[in-house]
Amino acid sequence: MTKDSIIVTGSWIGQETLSLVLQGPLTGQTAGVAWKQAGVFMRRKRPQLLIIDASKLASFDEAGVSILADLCRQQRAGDREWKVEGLPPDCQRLLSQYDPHEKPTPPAIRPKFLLPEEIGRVTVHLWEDMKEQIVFMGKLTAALGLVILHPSRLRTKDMLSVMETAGANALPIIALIGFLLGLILAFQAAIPMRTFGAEIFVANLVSLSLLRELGPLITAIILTARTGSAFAAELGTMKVNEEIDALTTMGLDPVRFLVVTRVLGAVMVTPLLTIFANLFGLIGAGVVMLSLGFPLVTYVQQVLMSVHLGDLMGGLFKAFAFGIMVSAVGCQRGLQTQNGASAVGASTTRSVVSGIVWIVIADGLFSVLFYSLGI
Amino acid sequence: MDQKPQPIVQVENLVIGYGDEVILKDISFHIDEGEIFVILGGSGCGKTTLMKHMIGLHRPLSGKILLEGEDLVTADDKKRQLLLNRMGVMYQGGALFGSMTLLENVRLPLEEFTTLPLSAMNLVARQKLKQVGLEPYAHLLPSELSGGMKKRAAIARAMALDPRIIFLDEPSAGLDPITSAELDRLILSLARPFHITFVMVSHELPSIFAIADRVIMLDKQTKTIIAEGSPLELKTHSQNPWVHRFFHREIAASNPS
Ligand SMILES: Nc1ncnc2c1ncn2[C@@H]1O[C@H](COP(=O)(O)OP(=O)(O)OP(=O)(O)O)[C@@H](O)[C@H]1O
Ligand SMILES: [Mg+2]
Repeated sequence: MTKDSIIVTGSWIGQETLSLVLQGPLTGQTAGVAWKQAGVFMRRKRPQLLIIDASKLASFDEAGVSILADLCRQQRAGDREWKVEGLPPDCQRLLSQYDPHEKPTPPAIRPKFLLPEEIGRVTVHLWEDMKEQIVFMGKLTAALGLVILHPSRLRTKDMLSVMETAGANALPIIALIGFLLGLILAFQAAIPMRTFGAEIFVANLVSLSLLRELGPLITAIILTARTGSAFAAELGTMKVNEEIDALTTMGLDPVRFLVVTRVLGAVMVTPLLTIFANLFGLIGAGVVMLSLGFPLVTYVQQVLMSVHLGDLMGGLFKAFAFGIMVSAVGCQRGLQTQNGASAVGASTTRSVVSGIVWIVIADGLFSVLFYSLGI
Repeated sequence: MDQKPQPIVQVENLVIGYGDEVILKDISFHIDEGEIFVILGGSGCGKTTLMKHMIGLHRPLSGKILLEGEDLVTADDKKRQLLLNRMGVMYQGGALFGSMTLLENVRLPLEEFTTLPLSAMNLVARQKLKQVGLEPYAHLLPSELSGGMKKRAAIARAMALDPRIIFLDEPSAGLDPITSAELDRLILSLARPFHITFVMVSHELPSIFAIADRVIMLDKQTKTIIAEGSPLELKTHSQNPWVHRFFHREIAASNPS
């Protein structure tokens, strides 16, 4: 036996009485061992009378004593007797602080899952959430209007820093994903096109789909992941730290003060980022075309022939709309944050999910709109 | 002054809480202009909650809170803004803006609500920081400060617009006795000559006896006000055992709960 380990020896006296002798230190570190060892003797049969001999205890602390208390409680719960002998007075005092009548904490009762109830709850929740989003959009519009009427009330410095983090700093990842997208798209399209000898039309396919659809879409999705979530986390933390309350009681509207700068900043950079996504996508496709043996000038000519300014502008307009939605929803989720650090995490997740949902809905609407307008 | 001052805050039959849970009920009191008014009560009894209702952050379940005769919750925007600009608030956790330095934090209300030139705003902000002993730290971010320093900076920010009424949630918690005494002196130096009203939550008995004109004591069990008066009155005359224990720093013979 080493100095800092505990030994529990047990002996049955007759059929009904178990005597446990504890030897060594009974502390938070050793209590688990003692508990297991005691369990070995108790497992076979619960004694009618449990005698715990504590006279050989070297030391003890509150956590250690708790297992004595728990042993006693178990005996009591089964209407059986117990006795603790040789307990040092200090230890006795610790032990008496535990209420032997205390019932073990019952496991938390989970409410029963009822499908109709759950559907109702989710529906109400969605409805409330939708209302809140509409109210928020209204407030944002009002605040944006105010800023347009009084541009001096815009916090330009804040907006520029948002433009830097959301725009300039996002450029590498936008370029990378754009390039990859163009490359993959061109490569995958080239294989079936080759059987028809129509590889040159890969340029049409890639440039049209990038400019009209994929460029704005990936830009928006990256914006959601990078910027929308950052807005939600930032505003969420401010909410938790009562900074939002502090703004409100200063008479500064959080929507005007925090949201407008962020939304304006993000909206201004989204079309620019989209242009870069398009450009790098086209470069990616160009690499494939070069490797297929087309001279660069042929590829560029083909691209210029297949796309019109309208395609580019339509895509940029979409990007602009996505930018508003993603940044606004990020801010809104942040402002909705409840209390506590985990709530910030939850709002961040919600901001990304809602952002993507909004992008999908809006993209669908734009497709219908552009089709009927013949763009 | 022989004329009786107007109540600056009037609370009538207030019931407050979160959701359906009532935290405090039957709350009625008033605060006169220029008074130093202290809200007392055990931890978790709803002092912060009451204060957040008084500054119009939450809507009461029922009852009324009037600031200078106006209800903050229902006031129109213009009136509300006016009232808000005449009050300063220090939150329990400080609530400084994390992305701004101390100076910028204190300067922000000035930037938004005054037409002072930047150099003058900086002067005012530095002066406020000096009053709480933080001028050397003006260029630091809140994350670079200790807890007590954050509190003092928050007080400086609350005072930035020279408000008529200042709400302080546990201003001296976490401060050493000397700083705490200096804070008391600062409060007195503002309250007495300038007639600024202070509404504070505090547990510091020495500070309460030193500066408070009137205190109310909230109780978690009954969810009401159990005592009201000057600190000395409560200490010597209160019949309520809880109040007695609080002022004589006694622990209960047997736990009432
Ligand atoms: N956002 C909230 N939602 C629900 N309940 C809350 C919320 N904030 C506080 N409470 C509850 O309201 C009660 C009063 O809280 P409050 O913060 O007002 O206490 P306090 O008197 O300021 O305490 P302390 O002296 O510790 O600061 C507590 O029981 C707390 O659980
Ligand atoms: Mg509090």
